[in-house]
Amino acid sequence: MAQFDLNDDSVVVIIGSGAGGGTLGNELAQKGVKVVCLEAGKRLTLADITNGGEMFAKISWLDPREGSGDLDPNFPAWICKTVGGTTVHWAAASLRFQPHEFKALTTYGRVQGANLDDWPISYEDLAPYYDLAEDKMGVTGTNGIPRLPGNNNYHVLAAGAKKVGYTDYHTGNMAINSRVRDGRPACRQLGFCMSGCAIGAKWSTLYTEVPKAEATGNYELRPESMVIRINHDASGKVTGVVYADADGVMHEQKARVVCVAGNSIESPRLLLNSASSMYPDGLANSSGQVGRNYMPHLTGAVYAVMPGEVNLHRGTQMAGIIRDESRYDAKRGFAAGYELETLPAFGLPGYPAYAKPGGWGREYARDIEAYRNVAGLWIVGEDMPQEINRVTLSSKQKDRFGMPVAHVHKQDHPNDKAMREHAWKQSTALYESLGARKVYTRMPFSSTHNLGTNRQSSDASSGVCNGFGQTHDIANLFISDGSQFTTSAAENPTLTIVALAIRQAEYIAGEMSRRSI
Amino acid sequence: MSNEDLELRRREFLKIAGGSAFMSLVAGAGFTALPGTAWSAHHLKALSEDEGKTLLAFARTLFPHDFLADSYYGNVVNAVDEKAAADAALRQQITEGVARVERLSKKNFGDQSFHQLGEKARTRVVKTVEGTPFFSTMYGETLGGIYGHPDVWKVLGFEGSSVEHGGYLERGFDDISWLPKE
Repeated sequence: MAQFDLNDDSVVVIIGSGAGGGTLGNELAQKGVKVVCLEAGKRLTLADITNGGEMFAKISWLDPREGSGDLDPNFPAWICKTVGGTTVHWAAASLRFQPHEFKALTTYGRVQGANLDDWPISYEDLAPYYDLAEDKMGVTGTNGIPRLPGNNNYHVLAAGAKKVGYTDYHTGNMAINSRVRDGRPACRQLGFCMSGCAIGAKWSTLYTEVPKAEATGNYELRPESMVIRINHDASGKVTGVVYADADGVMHEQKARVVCVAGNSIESPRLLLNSASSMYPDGLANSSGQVGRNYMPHLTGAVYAVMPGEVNLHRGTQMAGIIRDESRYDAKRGFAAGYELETLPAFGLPGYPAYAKPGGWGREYARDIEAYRNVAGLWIVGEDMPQEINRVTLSSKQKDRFGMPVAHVHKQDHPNDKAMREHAWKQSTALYESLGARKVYTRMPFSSTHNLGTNRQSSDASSGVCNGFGQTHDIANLFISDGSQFTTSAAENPTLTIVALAIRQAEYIAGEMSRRSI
Repeated sequence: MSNEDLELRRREFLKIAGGSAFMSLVAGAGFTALPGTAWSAHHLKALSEDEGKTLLAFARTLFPHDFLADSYYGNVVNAVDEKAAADAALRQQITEGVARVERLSKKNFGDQSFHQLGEKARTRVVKTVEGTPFFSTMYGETLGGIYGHPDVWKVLGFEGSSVEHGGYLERGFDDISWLPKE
């Protein structure tokens, strides 16, 4: 394992070790580029991953944050603070964006109140990198890898889908091994994907990209290293980062290139917090778009009390999808589309807490007693980027390092509301077609998909970075996570984050060898 | 108080007077009653015995399961008591919340204490305090205390950690039998 000096200014510093940062680090290290990865969270091993509620405190980002609008005021988003980032928690649904979703503005036209734009890259630009990402992650239904077998919750979803006339449904494209692959075992249907996969069947950078990068001798991971600011020189180029180690001691790591991959709340927070006399509004923010266009996806959930047992805690949590509604069809009365994916109730006390938040009383207790019969699904669709939905620095609260905490504001666009209503109605019909005696529709959980706050744009005045995630303002500063998404598309974002990271690594290595950065 | 409420109370009284043997026979939704004990409030650290009785009835009103003996709801009260003993602000929140619940009960239901009321009347009182910090405290504690209990998991069918059993691959992950044939 490599160790680099704090004054070594030849290294690429990557902030974050999740889907974006973890992948980028390994890709660069494999190409011989020296990498220091600074990760705020601790490093767990598989032995630390258990099947229970205790995992929440072990992996979640619990530092204070503020939410407003439609968000929980104290816990606006559920993302991770651990080596591997949100790939420890993710459910592993790995879908490609559809070609038209890279051209949201062109396809949907101007939507009032929405800040839509086309991506600077097309589906064709990304397709070869999707190929690489699917192979790297072992995505089922690609590369000759069989799909996972469906669990009970999937069979309910599929039977209902058939009854209401859907045709495009299956157990998904999952980055979960359906057979032994890449030194990792096949899925045992544990039913705790989102607590972290205790056997490592699910792809996570924690036990794939990070150790592979370390094996090259070009990569150093520093866990429990929280980056506070990014420094720059008089020419405007970034020169290194200041971070606090596990004991709270501050260090500066010099860098040739800095890549920000702290997820869509921490990444803009860090850029804003790095404001200087040269960059008074924060780094890479000449457009004023840093922190804006926050998109937590259009989400919602549905739980139905079915006429027979489902035991939905058994088996892979999200290996079930209906894709029919992900198309764009203006006749439905809203722009963009959505997916319907199986969702567990997270056992007990999860189900009573989540089916009807705040619910109580005799009738609700009776529905809780029917826990065995509950089926569930999650709605995930493209939400509209809005400038008012944004991450800013709190004027009230600072963290223990004196850095203002992130304030996150999100309010639904009318298009988001119309889509959710449509999805609830379709899902209710689906479960009622099989004799559901009660259907609970619920609003979003604290956001797990967080996108768009440092978006890609062709025009430097309407976004933060170009099609490679390179910031328009500072050539050696990159955005390497889901915050670079121009629009959110209907699909779970991780596969696209990984594909972008592979493509970005190729670009950074090329630019470094050309001495452009 | 309406006649309807009076009638309800009378019926509730008869049901309670029927005794615990009767109660275990009518346990809800076909579940066998979980063996438990009566719960006594006399050992509480921070809260009074009367406050304990009110909280016990409050917890049961939030999530009424006839198969659960009082001791399960009593565990919730014990947990609140422990926290209140270590936290003066919480102690005050509970005392004020209980006082309000008792005021509402006595004012609207013939000078009776909350725990003496039937479920319908108790439900009306709880509805009145819904959204207060006291309600939120009791809601969180009851939800976690009742549904976090392994005995309750067993009755309701949540099977807990699976990795030590090799997951569900050979233990019913796809054993559903009632669906229409695809």
